[in-house]
Amino acid sequence: MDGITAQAPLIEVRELGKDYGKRRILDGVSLAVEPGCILGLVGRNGAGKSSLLECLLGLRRADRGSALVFGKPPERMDDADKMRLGYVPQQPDGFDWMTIDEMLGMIAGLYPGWDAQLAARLLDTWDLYGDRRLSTLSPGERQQVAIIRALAPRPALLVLDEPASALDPVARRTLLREIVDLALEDGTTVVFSTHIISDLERVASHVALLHGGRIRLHAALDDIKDSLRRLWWPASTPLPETPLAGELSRRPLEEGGWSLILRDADLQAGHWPAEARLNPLALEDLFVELAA
Amino acid sequence: MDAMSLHIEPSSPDPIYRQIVGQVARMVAAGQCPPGTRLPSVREVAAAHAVNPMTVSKAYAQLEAQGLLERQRGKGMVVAAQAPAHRSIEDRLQALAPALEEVARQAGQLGLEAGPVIEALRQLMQNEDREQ
Amino acid sequence: MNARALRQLAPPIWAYVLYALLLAVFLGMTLYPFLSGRSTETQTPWPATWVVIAAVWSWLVGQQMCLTAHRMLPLRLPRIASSLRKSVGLHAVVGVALPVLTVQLWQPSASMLSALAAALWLGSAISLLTLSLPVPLAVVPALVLILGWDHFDAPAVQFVAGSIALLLAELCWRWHLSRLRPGIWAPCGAWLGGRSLQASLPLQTGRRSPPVNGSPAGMVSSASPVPARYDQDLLARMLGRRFQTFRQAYGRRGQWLIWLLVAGCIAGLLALGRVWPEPAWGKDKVAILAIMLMLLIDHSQHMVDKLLTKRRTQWVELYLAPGLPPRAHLEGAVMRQIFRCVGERVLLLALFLPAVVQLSYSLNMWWALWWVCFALIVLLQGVHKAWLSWHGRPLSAITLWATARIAGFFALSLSTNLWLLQQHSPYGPMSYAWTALGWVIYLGAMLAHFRTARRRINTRTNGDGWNG
Repeated sequence: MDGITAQAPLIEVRELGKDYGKRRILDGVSLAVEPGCILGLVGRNGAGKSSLLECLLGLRRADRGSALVFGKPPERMDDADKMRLGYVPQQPDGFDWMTIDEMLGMIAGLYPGWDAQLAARLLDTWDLYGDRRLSTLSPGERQQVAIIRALAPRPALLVLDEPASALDPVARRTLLREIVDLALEDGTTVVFSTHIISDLERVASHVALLHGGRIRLHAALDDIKDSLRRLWWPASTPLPETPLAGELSRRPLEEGGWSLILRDADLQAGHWPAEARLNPLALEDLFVELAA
Repeated sequence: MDAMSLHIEPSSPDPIYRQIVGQVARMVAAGQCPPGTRLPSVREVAAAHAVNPMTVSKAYAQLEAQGLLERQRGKGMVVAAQAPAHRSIEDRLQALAPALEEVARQAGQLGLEAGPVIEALRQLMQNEDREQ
Repeated sequence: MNARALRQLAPPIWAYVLYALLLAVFLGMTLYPFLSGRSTETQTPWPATWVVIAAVWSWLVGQQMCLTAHRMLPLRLPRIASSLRKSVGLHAVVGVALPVLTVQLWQPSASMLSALAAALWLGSAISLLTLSLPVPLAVVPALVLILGWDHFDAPAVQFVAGSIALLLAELCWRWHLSRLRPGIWAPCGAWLGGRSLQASLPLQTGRRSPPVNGSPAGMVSSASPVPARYDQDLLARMLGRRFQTFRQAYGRRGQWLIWLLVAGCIAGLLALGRVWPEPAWGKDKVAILAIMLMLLIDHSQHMVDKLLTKRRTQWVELYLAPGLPPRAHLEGAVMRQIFRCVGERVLLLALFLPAVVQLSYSLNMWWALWWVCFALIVLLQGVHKAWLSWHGRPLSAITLWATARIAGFFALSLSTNLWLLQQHSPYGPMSYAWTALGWVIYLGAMLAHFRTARRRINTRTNGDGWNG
């Protein structure tokens, strides 16, 4: 990381909106990703994670708002910017007629900083033989090839759209290690969308939750775990209409009572019923509470 | 001490940096890591557990601020010379407090009295001793 | 599986409407003389028409069926063959039995009924066979039927031929189901069905390079700075073999070999025309063969469709890999590549097909002129359709007009082609003047439509807050 760009966010999304027909997928998304961040983007199926990533890379045209990558609109990216960017699409299909070696060879020719050692090491780890045709690979293997293709240029910004969806646990762990490695050696900024919360909890420094077309939560992972708690409110006492101090969400429970998410809650300070209980919160529970 | 002797539970509600801080503090307090013991580098821990390196740095920085670790040229992080190797029972119990609070909370939820819980804990600790 | 997915598996509602309409019209025409008592003639008129109607029905319904079966294959679901057989039976009931029963209500003669049933049976079976064959072989049944119609003009033959076609379709499916084969060996129906499904998915979006440096929309090419040099061959490699010219795909030597091969074939055909002046096959069918050049229009559109939906990585590389045209020039570069590649294929076929046609006709000057224009329009339409596809799901009005335009092109080409080839036309009194007028009107309409489509897509992609 050089001193000049270290200040400005690598990605800046402002009030981004996207509709498919009458369906509003993104409704004013704002997000800034600082250099060196590893941001995990979570959200339910169809929440618009892929659309958001594609809009910010300029692969999809946003209907409203703007996105900046490396400080400029994605459609103005020049070759130097493209060389600093790696992207793994959600459906890594294409180049059916090529072998792995041919495809990677063609791409390698475009990047002066192509790390052939990294590519060879990953091919070996994942048991991918270079002479296999891409059309004969399983979806997971295709994803692995797409990941190699995105990592080997050693990008400054790596965007992965559900990179682990088709990978087995061993391959997933390898991917996480490589991400950690890039972050350590080059200070690579990473944005990845995922459903696998445990992966996110391992490598992410920040978490963004996309729900209802907006970013519901964007914070450092440690802060979330340090400051957010779940409060169980018994059915016997009516819950005040006005939000409690630090309340993020509330949800009635089927068996009666309420489940609330509070920030910086203190059991002594709150005027809560005696049976109310305050519990620490795993990220997965938080996801369910906020996106249910 | 190597990276794998740390136990990291990513899906625990406890953030990873706090898990590392807690474990190192307990090991130092119990005298498992005498002063001068080299700790695994940030890179080693991050790579071994595939966790975010910044989290590991944060844990080490906190431990350094607490005076448990110090940075030595050429060796990286080592257990500080003035780190109290054998602290008083109160100090060590203090380090155990979060785990005990968790046990107390769960025991309360299960409606258990203190007696049987303490007996079970005693059993567990005897087993641990025998294994070692 | 949600309701949306289920709805996509059923034939679209317009398929039923179209079929009902066709049935109503032709049933009326068939039964009219019989009902009005003017005729006691025992023969069903137009067996060929009935074949076509049944074929259309099976064609519309069968694509979804084939696609479903094809998609069940990689999931290793059991009983694909038996569920296929059941749905074929169901379609046969609707397509064959139902019309026959309807006609039965008017108690026509047995021979008329059997002729009707035989024609419907043959049509359904041929269509089904076409959908079941791998893509490269899919035109064969239709060709056999058209070229050899004279041999099929009896109910008994039609029954037998239909049954054979059904048997062949069964064999095809056995072959398909035995192993998962990619690409062109998939059943034609699955291929077609998949295409129409993709077209109806809402996730395609139009995109267009935005104006550079604030230049007004539509003037990008003139106002933007000169693009950095990029490699057109690299672009072609990213796009894939179907977008490549022969040189890009097979190298210089391959290019020469292909052209030499084509030249050899043309020479052979010309020589054959000399020594064998009496053609063996019917004349009209050869003329229809020439119209097959029109298939290239869909070819280019299909290439782009597939790029947008099934070749996601390639699409992404076009935008994000260094060394490719900058965003403002990407669309132009891709269209140029399509023009080159489709142009080369059009040129090749435009040279080859007349060599086939001359076996049956003595070609004249007017026809040659017509042929050149025809090939050019095919190329233009192909690139235009590819451009529409590039912009994602075009507005429905534009698509509708594009379809109408191509249908008009087909009708006009077919009639004028036949007329120019056979000086004594059976298609009514036409003169060169009328023909020329027809073409001029058509060309005007085509260019106007190109312009409208361009304007509307530009406003759509540049305007803010566009919905749909």
